[in-house]
Amino acid sequence: MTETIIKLENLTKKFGNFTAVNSVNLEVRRGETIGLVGPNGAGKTTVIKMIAKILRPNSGKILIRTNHSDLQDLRNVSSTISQIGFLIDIPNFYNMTAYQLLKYFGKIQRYPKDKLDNRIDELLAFFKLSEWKFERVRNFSKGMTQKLGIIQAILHDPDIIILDEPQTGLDPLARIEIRKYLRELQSLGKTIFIASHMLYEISEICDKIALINYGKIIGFDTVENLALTLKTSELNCLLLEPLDAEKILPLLNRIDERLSPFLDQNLDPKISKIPILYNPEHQGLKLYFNGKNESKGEILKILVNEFESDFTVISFTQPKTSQLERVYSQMVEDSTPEGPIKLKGVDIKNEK
Amino acid sequence: MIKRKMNLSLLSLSLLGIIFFGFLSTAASASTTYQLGLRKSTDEYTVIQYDDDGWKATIKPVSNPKEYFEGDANVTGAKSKQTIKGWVDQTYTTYDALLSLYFAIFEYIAWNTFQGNLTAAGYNETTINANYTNTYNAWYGVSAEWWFTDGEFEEKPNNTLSPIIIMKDPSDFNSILDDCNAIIEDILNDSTIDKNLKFVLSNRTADEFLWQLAFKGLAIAEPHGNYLESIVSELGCENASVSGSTLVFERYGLTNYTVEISYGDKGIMSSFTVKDLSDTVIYQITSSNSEWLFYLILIIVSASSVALVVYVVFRNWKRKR
Amino acid sequence: MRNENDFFIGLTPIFHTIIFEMKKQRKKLYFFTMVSILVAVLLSYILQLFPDYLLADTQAEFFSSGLSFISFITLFAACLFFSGIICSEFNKRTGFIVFPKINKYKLILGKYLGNLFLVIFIVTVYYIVLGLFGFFYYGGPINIRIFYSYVFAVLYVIALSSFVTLFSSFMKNVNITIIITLIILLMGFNIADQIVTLIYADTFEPLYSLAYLGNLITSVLENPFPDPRYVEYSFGGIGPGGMGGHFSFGTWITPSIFMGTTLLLVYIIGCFLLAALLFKRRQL
Repeated sequence: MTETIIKLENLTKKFGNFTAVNSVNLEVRRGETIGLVGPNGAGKTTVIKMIAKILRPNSGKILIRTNHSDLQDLRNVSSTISQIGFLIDIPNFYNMTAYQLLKYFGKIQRYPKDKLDNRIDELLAFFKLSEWKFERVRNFSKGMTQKLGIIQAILHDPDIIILDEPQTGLDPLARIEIRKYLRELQSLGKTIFIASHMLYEISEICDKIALINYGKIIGFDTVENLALTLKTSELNCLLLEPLDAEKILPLLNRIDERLSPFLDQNLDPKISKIPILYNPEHQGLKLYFNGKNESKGEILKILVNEFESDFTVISFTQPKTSQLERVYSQMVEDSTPEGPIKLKGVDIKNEK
Repeated sequence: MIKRKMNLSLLSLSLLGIIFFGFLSTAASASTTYQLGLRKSTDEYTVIQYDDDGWKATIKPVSNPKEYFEGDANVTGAKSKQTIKGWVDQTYTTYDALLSLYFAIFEYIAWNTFQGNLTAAGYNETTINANYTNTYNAWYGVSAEWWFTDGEFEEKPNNTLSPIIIMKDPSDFNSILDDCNAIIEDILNDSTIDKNLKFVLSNRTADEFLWQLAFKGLAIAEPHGNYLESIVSELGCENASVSGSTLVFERYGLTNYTVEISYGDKGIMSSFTVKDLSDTVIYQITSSNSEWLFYLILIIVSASSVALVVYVVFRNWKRKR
Repeated sequence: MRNENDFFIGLTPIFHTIIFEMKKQRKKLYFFTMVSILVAVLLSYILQLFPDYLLADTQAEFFSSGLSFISFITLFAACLFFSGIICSEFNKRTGFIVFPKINKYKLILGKYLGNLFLVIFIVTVYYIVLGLFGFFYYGGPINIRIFYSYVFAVLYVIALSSFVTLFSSFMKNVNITIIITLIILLMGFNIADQIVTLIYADTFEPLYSLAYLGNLITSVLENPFPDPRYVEYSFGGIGPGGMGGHFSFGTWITPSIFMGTTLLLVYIIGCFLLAALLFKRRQL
């Protein structure tokens, strides 16, 4: 098991009477990509600000492993932690050119002088900002500013990258680029900590997800494990050919009948009224099952073997995002500022 | 962006323009014939040569250059300086000219001492100006003077209001001399005037008048040669001549000697040379100032600024390409 | 040896911040340098183009009259350069980017020194222009007291800068900081000085006042140094209806060199340290 490099212990931050972060406990291990997910005002940015030493916690500790040392209380780390790169909130820059800003940031973070220009060029090129190198940030669009914000966070090649809503203001193409870059960083063994409410981005990148609401961590695990908390899970089944309109209803009844032991019969009507749906546009079936791993195999077997004459299954997937969305909405709805966290499935404590 | 840069450049150019135009235009004057070359500045005078034996053998055994100049003027290497502070247009009446141009200092004192007697005899300002109605237009300058010293200059000048007088029309000197000589003649012939005053006052020749003027802050307008020629010829001097911007006086002491007073570009004395019969310099003062150094610094600063701006513009242009 | 190296490596962010800050503020620098040159040229040259405007008798007096606007220039420069030095990081939220990268003390020191070099440069330009014209009109050598005056002008501008930095450390908005510091420095101190002098006359010297301490810039040019430093003016007469009487008012001309220097240093160090502590404590 890899070593813990950031550890939050009972971290609490109050603004007057309002508790923004409430006894948060979290461990980040080297090489992990952690997503911090929660609704607006849940306390995501406050947690990051405390790690960045921009805010002081009212109680609790932030322990950090600086270069070649044991975990140390952040308060005792006299200087800034150079192995972390931060993007906090919507980035606001001094009105200088992108090059001047990055050069300055690189220098104060002691990035090797002889490599700095190359590094700046490389990152600007990757994020398609090369033409804007000598333009003042005042002239940048929101998305370009956001990209520059990400560049400044990773410029000095930190081991840990903490990004707060990195996808804000970006167009879909830019989001793909950033996702691609984050994957590259993952492959280099970097530890990444992303706060976001964009579940798709998070589910695509993160190894683990911490759900936060009312300043409390209400869940922290892999997407798959979190999905176990769900009574209902979703399966997408793509078919080779569209179903004949006249045969759809009887066919769905037959499938329902056959798969009934595995399907969620007490399906929450907010999700769907029936456990099997056919989507003619996507040419696929959507099935709500009981979430058990073994059920998935059985369902696939039955669909392939027993309905061979009706359709051909070409893809059978369990969508992460929609699962996560449901875990998220379920947990957020169930959590309260004061009361205990009520989870429908497996008990997930507030602490890991 | 470009417009802003242009505005900045225009502002800088205007500033430089004002400075250079100022330097050029300071000398501009109202006179159509002669122009004022006076500039606010400081000139330093240095005694570069003094032959005490030669002086005593040529001029007078018991004299030295202190008779002409204040301070340690008889010490080689001694320095004095004069700061031109400003000037105004001034109109002299005959009475003004009498007191400030014609009289030597002892005559001026005597005149003031016998003011009551003179007024009673009809020689007050009103009557003199009524009888002699000429008026004379001049540039009246004021300078601060540090007398000759062989040490460091005191911070404060010895004289803060030393006059510099430049008649706009050099022929006026002749009228002044004629009128003042006539007034003195009248006074000398007036029996009601105290004889002690008569003893002090005397009328003078053109040479004496010019010699006296040379030590009373006479300065000249441009063109210098013509101006000096005009003074000398209008006054009808016999022992004074002009050579370029230099006024040459033929003087007589123990032997004949010459005094050459040169005038610089500002129209004030730039050198003073006394030569004996054999044309050997026995006393010489020359002036200098640091204006050239100022211009040199200005040129270096301007050139550096222009080079810097060009470099920055070029670098930005190259980057954007 | 290693500790020494570490020490210098620790200082490099300050050095880089100084350079960056100087680049960041260069438009203000251009503006104030132009203003500084224009005012110096106006006072020491343009006015002298009028023949009847008499040149001062001595170089020191010439400098003294040329320096009549230096306190305004330094005051405006200090307010405009330093008012945003801390509060803009919070107000414009640029702190989110910078604070995690550099220790706050190093950041404030770098920004402070960067801006300080610029305002000192502006003051220096003013003195150089004045010195050049002083040299042009009076020749060399330049009066040594202009250098003393320059030292006090630099001390004064540093004190002003520290004072404005202190305000910037707890104010929320840059523009409000500019307005408040300008009001205090332009009017507040002067009004307080007059009230204090009116009440206490020569028994209480307004040494708390930055405006009063700034008088050293021109006083040091005087030879001899003003003594007594408290001067009382009196006048009297009989007005219409036989009313009349004797009136007098006093004024403190300048602090003593020792006391002035000490208090300027107190302002410089005290205000800056307080500002740095407040900056360190302030949360974004």
